[in-house]
Amino acid sequence: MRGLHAKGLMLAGTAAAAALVLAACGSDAASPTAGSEDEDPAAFYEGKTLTMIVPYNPGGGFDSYLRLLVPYLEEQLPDTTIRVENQPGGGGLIGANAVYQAEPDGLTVGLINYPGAVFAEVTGTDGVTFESTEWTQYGRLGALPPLVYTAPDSEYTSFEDILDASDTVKFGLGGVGSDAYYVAVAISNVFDFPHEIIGGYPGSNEADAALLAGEVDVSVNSGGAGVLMVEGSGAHGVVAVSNEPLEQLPDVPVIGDFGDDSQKEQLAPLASIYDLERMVVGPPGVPEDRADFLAEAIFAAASESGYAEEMEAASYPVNALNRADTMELSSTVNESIESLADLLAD
Amino acid sequence: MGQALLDGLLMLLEPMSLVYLTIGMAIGLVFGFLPGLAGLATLALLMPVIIGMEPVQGLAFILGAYGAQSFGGSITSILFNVPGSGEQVVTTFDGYPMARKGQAGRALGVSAASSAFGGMFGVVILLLAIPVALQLITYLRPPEIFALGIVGIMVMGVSSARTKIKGIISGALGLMLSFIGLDPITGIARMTFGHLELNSGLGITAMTMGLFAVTEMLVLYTRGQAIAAQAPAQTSRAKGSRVIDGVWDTVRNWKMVIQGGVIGSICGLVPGMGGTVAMFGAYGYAKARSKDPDSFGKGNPVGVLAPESANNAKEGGSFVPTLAFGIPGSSGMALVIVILLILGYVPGPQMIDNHMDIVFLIAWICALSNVLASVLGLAMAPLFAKLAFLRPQLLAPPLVAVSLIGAFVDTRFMLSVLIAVIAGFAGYVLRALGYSLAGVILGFVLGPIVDQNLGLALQLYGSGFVLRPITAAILSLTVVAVLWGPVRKALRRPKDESGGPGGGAVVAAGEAGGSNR
Repeated sequence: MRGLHAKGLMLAGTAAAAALVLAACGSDAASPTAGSEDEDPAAFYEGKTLTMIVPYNPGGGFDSYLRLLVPYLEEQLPDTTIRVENQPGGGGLIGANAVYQAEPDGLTVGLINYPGAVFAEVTGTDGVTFESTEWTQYGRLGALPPLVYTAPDSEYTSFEDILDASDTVKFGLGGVGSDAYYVAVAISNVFDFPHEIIGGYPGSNEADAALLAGEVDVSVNSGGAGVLMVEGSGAHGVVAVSNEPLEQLPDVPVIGDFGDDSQKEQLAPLASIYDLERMVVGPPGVPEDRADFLAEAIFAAASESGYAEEMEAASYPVNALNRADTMELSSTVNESIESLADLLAD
Repeated sequence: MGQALLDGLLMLLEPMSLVYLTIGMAIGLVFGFLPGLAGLATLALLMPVIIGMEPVQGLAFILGAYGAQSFGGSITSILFNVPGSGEQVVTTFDGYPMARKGQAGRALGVSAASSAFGGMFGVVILLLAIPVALQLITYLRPPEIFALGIVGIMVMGVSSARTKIKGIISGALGLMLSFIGLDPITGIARMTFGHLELNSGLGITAMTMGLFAVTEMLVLYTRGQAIAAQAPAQTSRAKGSRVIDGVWDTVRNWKMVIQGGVIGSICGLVPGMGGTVAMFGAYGYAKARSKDPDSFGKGNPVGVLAPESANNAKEGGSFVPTLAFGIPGSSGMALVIVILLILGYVPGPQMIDNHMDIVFLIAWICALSNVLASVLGLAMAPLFAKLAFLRPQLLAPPLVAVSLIGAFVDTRFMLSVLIAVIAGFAGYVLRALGYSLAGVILGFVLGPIVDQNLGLALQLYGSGFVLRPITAAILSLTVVAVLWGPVRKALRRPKDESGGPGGGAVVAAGEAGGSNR
């Protein structure tokens, strides 16, 4: 623990200066040598700096997943300097673009919101410079599927209530184009119930407040935040957009439990893509041996019980998946990317 | 309830908790000096430190830092026109002119005392409001927030521009600049020219650092005289300029401190209103209520104490939804939720039922850190106040550097630095031509609030939203107040040729809105 404290203090002290220097240097600082194919990957990483990009602000969930991982990853890679860099903005697109365009030498990785990146790509969002099928994938750290929930005193206490609704069901969401927004669009596109999607709240907190005030009927939020609303405020969790029930809320049904066969088929890719939510990726074309080596180190670090405990305490469950399994999962998801585009059209 | 109140206090009074509180506060004060590290960033950067700490000590440490940092920002706002965070720009409006008059000590005294009172007031609100929090959230929905934003726009003309029309142009410029970025309702990019960095707008921190800090340093540098050059050096020790005089100002204006505190707490209670509305609202209210509104912007202590009280009271208010529902009342509170989780507490109704002692502990920490930070600040104020007499050649370069770093740290885009530099030079020109930079920033802040809440109100309630009782009351009083000035002037004209001051209508509008908060 002591090491962690010192780390935090150091971070605090140097953040301002370091951040400025880092930005000035840009990505070329990360590639002192190009490296050859037949070099031993372990030797390659010795003395080098590994940059891990978080496409969101410090202090958030994605940031915590990487920052708390660093001490464990340093044990796996004792001679490598590991640096976490926040590149927030553009709903995560700026950071994702930066990872995609980095030198493919295995020294730049990013923890991206994979479903968000796919949604941005298939809906033709401005500024997307990546193709979701091309990332070098290192593995998954966690998957926090979206939870659909209603207010504690809502007339809708289950997903069936919503599907059978005769009045307009109002979705309140923080931000048009957010993941939660697309989940609401997909669900209301597939199922036939009167609905209205209000996506203009400044953020999910304001949407939650609107839910409690009775201004909207339903909200959607990813992972920890949704679970917290159910556990903390008594909101009704009505359906989870995943293949497996949520660990913290095992009684909440999953999206595949509803609808006829064709509706189930339509929503299957949406549920599957959330199995890949927090994925460690790199730019396309990283040498395979390096990618394997680094992925193994990341998987070993993420499998440490200490890491899981620290993350669990902050309500961020760790669910590490190794490189091979991640790639297999994503290949099935990638096949259905085109059908996702129809699903998300609003 | 009484037992939990006492338990909370006893937990804080343990020696180790007090030690951690003090360390946290020292760090918080330093962070407060560095623009961009204030507020949210303080919590984010210190969060890894508390993992594994005893819950009570961890809370004392991090909330102590959070409580102290806003006072650190007040010091730089007053002395150098460099706000610690975007919203604290309001403190510069009158605090900095006081420093220029050689009354930096007095201004710091006002700030410290009103911060302490406001912070304590916020804690009282925290304790009283938990049972009625849900009602408040239900009554202040997007239509009401939109109406309050309209009141703010009316106050815009009050700004310190040379002529009234220049005041309005300043505000309109700020409004227009605020529309750069994603449309909050449709998600369509406006005037971003394909730059993803501009999706979330120009950024309040970059804009305030540019318009206030950079502009002011340009002015200082070109003038070549110290900030308080017009005042003789012994002014700072003269009667009426000392720190104690500032404390006395606050005591004398206790009503305004409480009114500022009420505005601040309400803004904290309702997620989505936030500190900017709190500080601007309190300032506009104080000015509208003043018998001498023209003295605002020229170094009126009331212009410092109302917003400072509101800013500190806001934190107490924003704890209410955080603790009661697990919904953060401000951006900083979003991190407090994570911190509570790390320390093993789930915010929400269960917290109120099972951990009331921790709720009170938080209230005590906030109260104590506010008072201690102010005492610490008061002790150091005479020393800091001397900086206002320093040559600009020594002062300006490091302050510009720190401000630009602040602009960068907020977003982590180099573009933000460029925005701050451009805003700095543009601000220099605008100020020389007699436009009001406070008006520009007010328009910039209000733009998104009005834009977003109008869109939401229309989507949710249709155009009939204006008939919601509170909305209708605020809007109709605003209209009456705007029309009242010219009507009264027209009626008086036959008797009294000289008429009232030109800003009468708009000042009255601010007053009408203010009384509705």
